[in-house]
Amino acid sequence: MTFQAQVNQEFVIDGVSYRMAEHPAAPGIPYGQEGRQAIVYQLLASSPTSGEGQRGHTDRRALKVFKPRYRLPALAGLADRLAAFAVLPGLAVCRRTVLIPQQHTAPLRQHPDLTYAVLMPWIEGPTWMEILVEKRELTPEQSLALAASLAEILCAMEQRSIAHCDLSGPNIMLPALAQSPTPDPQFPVALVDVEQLYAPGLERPEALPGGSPGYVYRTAPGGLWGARADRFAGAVLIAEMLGWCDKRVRDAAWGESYFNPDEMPLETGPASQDAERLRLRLSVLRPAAKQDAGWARDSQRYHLLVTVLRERWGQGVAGLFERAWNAETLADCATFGEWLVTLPEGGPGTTTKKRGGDGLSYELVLANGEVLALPQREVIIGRRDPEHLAEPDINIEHKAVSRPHCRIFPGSDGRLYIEDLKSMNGTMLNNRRIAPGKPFPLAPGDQIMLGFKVRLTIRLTTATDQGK
Amino acid sequence: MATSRTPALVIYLLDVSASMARPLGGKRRIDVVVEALGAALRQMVFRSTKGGSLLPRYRIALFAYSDHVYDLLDGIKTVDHVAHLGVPELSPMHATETAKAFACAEKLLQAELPNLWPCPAPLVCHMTDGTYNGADPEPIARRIMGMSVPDGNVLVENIFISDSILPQPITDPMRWPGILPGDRLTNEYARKLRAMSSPLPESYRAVMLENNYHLAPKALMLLPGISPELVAMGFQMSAATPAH
Repeated sequence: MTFQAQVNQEFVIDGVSYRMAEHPAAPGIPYGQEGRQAIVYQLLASSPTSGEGQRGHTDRRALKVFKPRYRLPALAGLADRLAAFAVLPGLAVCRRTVLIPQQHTAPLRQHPDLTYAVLMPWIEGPTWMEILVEKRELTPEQSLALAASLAEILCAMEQRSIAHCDLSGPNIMLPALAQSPTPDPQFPVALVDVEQLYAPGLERPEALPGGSPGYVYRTAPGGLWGARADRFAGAVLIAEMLGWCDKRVRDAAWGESYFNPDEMPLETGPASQDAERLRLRLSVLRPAAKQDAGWARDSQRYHLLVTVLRERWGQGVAGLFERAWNAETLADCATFGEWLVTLPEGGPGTTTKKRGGDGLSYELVLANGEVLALPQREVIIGRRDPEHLAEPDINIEHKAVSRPHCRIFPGSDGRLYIEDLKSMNGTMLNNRRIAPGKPFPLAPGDQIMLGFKVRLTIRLTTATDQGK
Repeated sequence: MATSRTPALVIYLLDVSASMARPLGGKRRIDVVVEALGAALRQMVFRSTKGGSLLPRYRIALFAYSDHVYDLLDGIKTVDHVAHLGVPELSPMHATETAKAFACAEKLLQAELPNLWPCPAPLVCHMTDGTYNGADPEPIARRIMGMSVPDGNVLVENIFISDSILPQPITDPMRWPGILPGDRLTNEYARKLRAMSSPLPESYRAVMLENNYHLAPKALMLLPGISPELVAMGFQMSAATPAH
C-alpha cells in the first residue's frame, strides 16, 4: 500500500514536529494535491521553525511524497544541485530537505513510503490554473505585474541555461495574490514541480513529463528537456496573464488552460528530433485537426488573444506571442529577455518595483480622484498635527485619520508594503483590517481604507498609461 | 483526461445484501467497502486539488442495492460536493437484485451520454459478494459496455468479494498481474462477471503501475475481493482516470 496520510498525523523531521493539515474543502481528508509524480501535502509545524515559513503564523511546509515509480535515490543528489538555484527569483522550492535513510532513520522506519520525500517551503497563493478555472478578474496592473514577474524569473533562468521543462498553470504559484498576508516577502510569482529542471550538469530525468495540456506542442508528447524548453509554454503563460484583465479573454477561456489542448500548434521544424517523422505526422494531423468541429472555434482563441495583446499592450507584445505560436521550433520563439524589454515600462524617478533594472511606478489614488505618485522611500500617511508641527508625507484632513495613521514603504524584495501605525480607527486592506505594527504586501489594485472612511487605491503606472 | 471542463463520470453500484455483514480480514465486508470507497474518494480529491481549490474533475453517482436500488447522492454530484458530504454509511439489507442496479446505471448513462462528448469514457464500478437474485444483469451490462463517447466505450469494472474465484491464492497483490481473458476461474458467477468486465485501458494501467501495481496488458477490470487490499485496489482502479 502507498502512504496513507491522516489529518493531524504527526511527524518529527530534523527535530521539528509537524502535523498533517486538513484539506480546506474536504473535511477529514489531508490537504494533498496529486501531480504526475507525487502528492504534495501541507504540513503545519507544531513549534516555530526558522526559515521561509510564516513567522507569527502557523509555520507551513510542503511534503512531497513521490509515487513508488518516481521514488528514486537520485532525488537526494538532485536536491543538492537545486539548492544553488534557490537564490533566483521564484525558485524558493529549490531549497529543500530530502528524507534519506542515513539521516532520517526514525521517520522512515515508521513510514517507509516517505523515503526520498522532499520537505520544502509552502508557497502561498493560488495557482495560475485556479485563476483561469475560476475566471478570477485581474486588473491590467495585476496582469502586467504577474506577466513581468514570470518573464523576470524565466529570463534569469535562461541566462544560466536553466529551464523548468514543464511550465503550466498548476506549476505557477502566485504569492502576490495570496489571500492571507505573507509577512515574509515572497516573489510575486513562484515555480513549483522542479524535479525535471534542465541545467548544465544535471542528469536527464529517468521519467520526463510529457508536458502539460494547453502549454505544450502537440508534437512533443514525450516531453522537452533543454535550455529552450520553456520558450513556447512561457510565451503562452505570459500571454494568458497579460490578456486575463480583458473580459473577452476570460469569457473565451477553455477551462484549466486558456487554450483547448487540442488546438495547440505543432512543432514542425528541423530542430525536432525526427523532422521527417514529424512531417509525416503533420500531414496526418493538420487535416484531421481542421476537420475537427472544434478547430475553427478554438482557433478564434488565438486570434482574440493576439487582438487583446495588441490593443492593451502594443504590437510589440502581440508580435512576440504570434512569433511563438507560429514558430517552427523552440529556437524561433522569443527569449524571455526579449519579453522583458518589450513589456511596458514605468516612468523615470518614481520606481518602487524594480524589474531587471527598469521600473514601474506606483501611485496612490485618493477618494476625491487626486493622484499622488509614491516615491521610492517610506511614505507616512496621516493627518497634520498643528500643535506639534508634525507633517506627514501625505496629509489627509479627515477626522477618521490618525496622526500618523499608516506607512507605505518598499521592501527589500521590491514589493510595496503597508503597516498600520497603531491608528485609532485602524487600516483596512481589501476589506480586511490589518494588524497594527505588521507589514502587509500591497499589489496593484489593492483598496486601502483609513478608519473605514477614507478610501485609497494603489495603482501601477505603465508606459501605456502614460502615453494616454 | 479528467479536467474541470471534461470531468470523468464514475457510477458506483454497491451490493448491500445481508451477506455483506460477513467478515473479511477482521471487518465486516461492508465496512471494508466503505473504507475502500473513502480511499478512492480521497484519491479523486488529491487529483482534483490545485492550490487551495478543489476542481470538479470527477462526477460521481452512488447506488446501493439490495431488493431495491437506493440513490445515495440523489443523482450525480461533483467530487467537491461529495468530499464535503463524505462517504455515506451503508447497512446490510436483504437480497441481491443486481439487474436493477445496472438498469439504473443504464438509465443514467442514456441521459448523460449526449453531454459527455469531450469527456473521458464513463466508468461503472460494481461491487458485489454473491450471485444475483431476480433478472440476469449481464444483458444490461453488455448494453452499457456497448455505449460509447469519442474517448471510448463505457467501462464496466467488477469487484467480486469471494474466496473461490481463482485456483491459486494471490500472495502479493502488488505483484499480481490481474485476471486475463483466458485465465481459469473456479466460480460460475465470476465467469459471468468476467463477461461483464471491460479490458483495463492502457491509460488506467499506467496510473496503476505508477502506484506500484503490476497489472499486465489486457488485464480485465475484474478484481477478486479476497482481502481488504484487493478491494482497495479495485476502488483505486475506479478512480484511475488520468488527470494532470
